[in-house]
Amino acid sequence: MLENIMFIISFISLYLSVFWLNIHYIEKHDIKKTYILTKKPMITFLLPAYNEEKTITRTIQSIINVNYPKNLFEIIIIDDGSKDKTASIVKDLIKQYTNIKIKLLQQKNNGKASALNNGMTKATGEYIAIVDADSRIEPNSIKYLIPHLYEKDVGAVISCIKIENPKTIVERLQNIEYLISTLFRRLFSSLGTLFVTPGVLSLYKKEALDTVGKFDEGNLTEDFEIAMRLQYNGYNIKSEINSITYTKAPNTFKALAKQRIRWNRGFIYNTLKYKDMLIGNKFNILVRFQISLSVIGALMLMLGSAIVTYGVLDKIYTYIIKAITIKSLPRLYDIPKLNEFILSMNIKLMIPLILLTIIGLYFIKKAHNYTDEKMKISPILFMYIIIYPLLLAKYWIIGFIQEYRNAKKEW
Amino acid sequence: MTQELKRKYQKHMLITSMIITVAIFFAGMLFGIGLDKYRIKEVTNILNQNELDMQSYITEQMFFENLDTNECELIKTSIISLTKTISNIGRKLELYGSKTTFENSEFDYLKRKYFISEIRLYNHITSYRKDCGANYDVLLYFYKIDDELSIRQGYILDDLFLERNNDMTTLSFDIEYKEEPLLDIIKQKYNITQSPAIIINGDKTFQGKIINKYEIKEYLNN
Repeated sequence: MLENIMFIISFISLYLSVFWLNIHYIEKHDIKKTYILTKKPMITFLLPAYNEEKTITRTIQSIINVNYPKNLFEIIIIDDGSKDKTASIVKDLIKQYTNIKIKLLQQKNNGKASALNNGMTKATGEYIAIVDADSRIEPNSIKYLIPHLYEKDVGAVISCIKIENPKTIVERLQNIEYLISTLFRRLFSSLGTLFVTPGVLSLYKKEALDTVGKFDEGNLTEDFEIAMRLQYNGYNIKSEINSITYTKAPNTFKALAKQRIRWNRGFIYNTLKYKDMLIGNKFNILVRFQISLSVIGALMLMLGSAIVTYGVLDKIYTYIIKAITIKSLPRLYDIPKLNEFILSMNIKLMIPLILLTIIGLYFIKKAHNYTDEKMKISPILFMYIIIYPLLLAKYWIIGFIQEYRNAKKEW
Repeated sequence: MTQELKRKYQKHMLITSMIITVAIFFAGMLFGIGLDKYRIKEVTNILNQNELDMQSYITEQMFFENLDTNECELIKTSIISLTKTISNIGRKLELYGSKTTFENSEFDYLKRKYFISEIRLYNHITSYRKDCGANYDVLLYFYKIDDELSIRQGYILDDLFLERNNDMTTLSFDIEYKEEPLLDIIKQKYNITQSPAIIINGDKTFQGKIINKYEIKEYLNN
């Protein structure tokens, strides 16, 4: 039974891998392609901030340093009721950079979406760049993003996110994950099926945001929700791999769990909210395929991880029972001869697993190449392939349970 | 390539990828069939080798009978060698038989040949014990597949065999195997109805519970 479930999971995974390999093959010459900046519209940078005294200066300075005419952008910082010195730091920066339009809005603590809605009321830019207060944007980031919005049907464009100076195991695992996400978001973007505009740096057309309405203030993942809403209203979202933004990522497993459970709950809530994108012919088959794929992917990750965990626990249980039965420690593993090892393989599972590992490593390598990062064969890479999916599956399961129980929302 | 053309091409990829994946799985199936054939060939080869060794053993026995000599040490060496081959066949049948996808009936047939070989070895060991007055132990073990008690009894017997592999032979039989009438005869003779069951030297019988190593040792000659 479990073997058959694993076989089905392997089949679907292999199909998806082959699909993405094909899409990558079609797209590979265009992934790093840059577009020419032919017009320079006014841009408003919106920075919602809550207790960001440690990072806000660096974030604002990175915006000030972008390669874009200083008179063509403004920065609006929305202090969402910070209890630290965020507001006073911003006030000092306003005094320091008199040649740049920097505004500070202060409000009671009401959440990121509320801060963004507040900022939108004062924004004068034709394009809106939403930047997290702990991001650091590269000088050319904006220049690479803008041309995508020249296309009529494009509502937003997102940048490539990298982890700022990853040091801990958790940060280094996420670093690999973010690079792979960048490649896949670029591929999703080419299919017109990108459903996320991360808060780290996303550039929107103000007209598109005005059309679809305000950010959803009760939503755990307002960036995912607005992306779904843009797509729902016929706007496309693009991804630009040359535009680089650095972000601070959770540096402990506890912080990672909190972030991922929130993301997963947000995903479940918003997918259900926009479930009619799956039905009918309003959206093309690729959009329906991508949404189904996200749901099936999460389910397969949970199911596959549960089966693998069961398998490992079963082996441990067998070893313990064997030790208890013979009243001494049995040998951990009898090393078989090579031909016995090959002949005793379960072909139904091994062939897809071997192929999936090869394709997975190929994508990891490509993701590093496209983002100009060096891929290292390290224990972290093995942890990423073997242990990280189990961890993510655990966060999915908790997310599902919390959402099912309608647990209290925590940001 | 224009955006529209590209999108059209991408949609085709949904079907193309499915065809490629099915082709990979089909190739995998063919590989699986090939591997199954190879597994069967390997087990068959060892069974044939064992067959030859048995013939050689019988000829050796007849030869000694004609010469009216009793070469018990030489016979013991042959029995140890036959035991090792039989245990190797059993291990391979267990290892490969559970992984087969297309050749279940072929593995069933090999299993029958294996059980017959085991019974023949049992007969030889019994004769050897009688003719040479040897203290060589032989255990018949009846197990049930996927049965917790049988699995645990198997661990104990493996452990015991590792400890004294030159002085004893354990011959294992699937209690639910119906194809071989000889097994039913043994079961009836020793009144075996439950698993796990152990018959020590054709004399002492235990069934339906786990017997530890020390209890078994009490009934062994060595």
